[in-house]
Amino acid sequence: MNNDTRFDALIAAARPEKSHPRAEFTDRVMQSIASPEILSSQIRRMNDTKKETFIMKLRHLPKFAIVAIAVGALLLLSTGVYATYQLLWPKPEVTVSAPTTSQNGREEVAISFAQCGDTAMAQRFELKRNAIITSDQIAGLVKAQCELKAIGAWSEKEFGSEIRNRMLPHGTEPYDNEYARPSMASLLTSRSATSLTFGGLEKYHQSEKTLPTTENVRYFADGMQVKASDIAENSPVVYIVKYREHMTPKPGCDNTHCSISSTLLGEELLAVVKLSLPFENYDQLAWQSLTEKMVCTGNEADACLTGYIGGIDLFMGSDAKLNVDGFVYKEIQGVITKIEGPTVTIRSSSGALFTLAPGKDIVNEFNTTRTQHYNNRKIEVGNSVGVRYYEPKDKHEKTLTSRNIAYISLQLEMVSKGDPLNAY
Amino acid sequence: MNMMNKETRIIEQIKNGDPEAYRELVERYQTGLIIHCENILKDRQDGEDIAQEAFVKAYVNLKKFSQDKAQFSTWLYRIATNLCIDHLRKHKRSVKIADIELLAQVVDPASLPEDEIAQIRDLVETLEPPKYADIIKAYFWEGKSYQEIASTYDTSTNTIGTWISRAKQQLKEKLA
Repeated sequence: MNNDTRFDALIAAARPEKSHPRAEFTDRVMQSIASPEILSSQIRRMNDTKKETFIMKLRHLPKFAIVAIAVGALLLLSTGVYATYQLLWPKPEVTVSAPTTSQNGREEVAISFAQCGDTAMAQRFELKRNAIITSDQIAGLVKAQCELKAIGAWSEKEFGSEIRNRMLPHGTEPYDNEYARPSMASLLTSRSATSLTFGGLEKYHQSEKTLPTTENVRYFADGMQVKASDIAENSPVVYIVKYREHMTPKPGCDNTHCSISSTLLGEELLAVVKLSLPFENYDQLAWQSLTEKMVCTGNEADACLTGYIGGIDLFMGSDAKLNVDGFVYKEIQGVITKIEGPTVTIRSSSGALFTLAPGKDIVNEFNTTRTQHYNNRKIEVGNSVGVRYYEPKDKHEKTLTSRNIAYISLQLEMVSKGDPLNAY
Repeated sequence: MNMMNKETRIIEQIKNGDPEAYRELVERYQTGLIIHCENILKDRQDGEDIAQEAFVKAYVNLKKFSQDKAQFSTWLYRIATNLCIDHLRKHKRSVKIADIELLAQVVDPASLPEDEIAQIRDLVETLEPPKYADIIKAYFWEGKSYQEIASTYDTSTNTIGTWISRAKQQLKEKLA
């Protein structure tokens, strides 16, 4: 445990009451609480082209060093000449197994991959019930995601962070702000001597965008810089733009309380990156048709669904404590097989039965008092729930109580945010 | 009125239909919670987004919160930590969940000793040079980012990091 982190918390906790934190943050929270019910973060964020797109995914990636790959070194060595080519981003390699049927009755594939940035990807994927793709398309989608991650990491290193400085750096004075941001995967729909037009995002309700070109615009393909003419019309691309905006504090600002409005002053095309796969592989909705499966923490024989699945909070416990009596964090997911008052039994992917006894009738509570917020959907046998709980590392209790359970959520299956609320 | 009683009263007010009372809890815990999320996610903006979501989620579920069993901050930090884990998972970031959970417990304001907190509050005013005190206040108490503070001082975020680190070292020495 990092003592510095605890010390940070001590300093933050020492804030005198008279000292005011940022009012804009408080205001955002207060505005948000007007909505009577919220879904889990997964749903609230998914398929929102502003908040949950490839662009935003890239923002979360850590920086990593440019990967150098020696291409064909052996071949060249054999001729007495050798050279090392440095790719600006690595080319992903993905292998997909033949599809099988998962415990949830969905088509499932196992994936092995390399050169997918430094991020952890799931090893198994299954198709959602309302998937808009078939299993033979999964390899391309995964490869495309790997490529986007790699390009995003390179872009951040090359052009700077896309994080927009929306804080107030100069007291109450207006100021100009600049940041670079890669686009979603798009199509280079047309070009002229002085501009490029990007499109292909109609399904996300985004119209075509035309940006002027200068001699400073750089072009890339397959991890290397290329000529503009090497990227043909209708190629799938990511383009990187530098945005400049004017930030104006709203009336009534002082040094501690301020809201800011922004006005776009200009955009400058910095680079165009040709993508290596057909455009449909970069489709966000296609990607959201997949459910990723990872090993459940603390229950290694079981698979836990992750990625683009939604959830409705059913229980957030406060009795369970980590590190008390040697308790560690664990998680399990399963299909409800029995509901008996406040006790719910689930069957995990390995076939193990877990009895959940959180001390509250979470099913009845949801079905009677919250259901109207969720299109009158009811919790029933056959639905899936996810559970986070604590217990000693070497124990594997099959009955979990309020002493163990930290969180229970009903798992939902959606591809688009607007889809009906289907239990997984 | 001590802090705990005041918090109990605020929560009762909210449960009785006064949402505006929540503002005080948001002000009280926001900087610590943002820093906690930032530490987990290694990204300031993500930290703010998740902290905001945690406050909203805590508010929505406040009716289910029992003050007899836990303090509000413990519950709030648990919600935020859950959201951070979801976020890391969703963005395929390698994550040691047990470490994160442990971190959440150690930094929960309810777990921190009051006397040490009070001492730090006084000691911040004694930092030298005085700008160290201003920077500590800006980051830890006013919720400003490194970038924002750097702009105010017309310097780099790395320099701000160095100054904060030195200021913390001074505080630790004074506390010892």
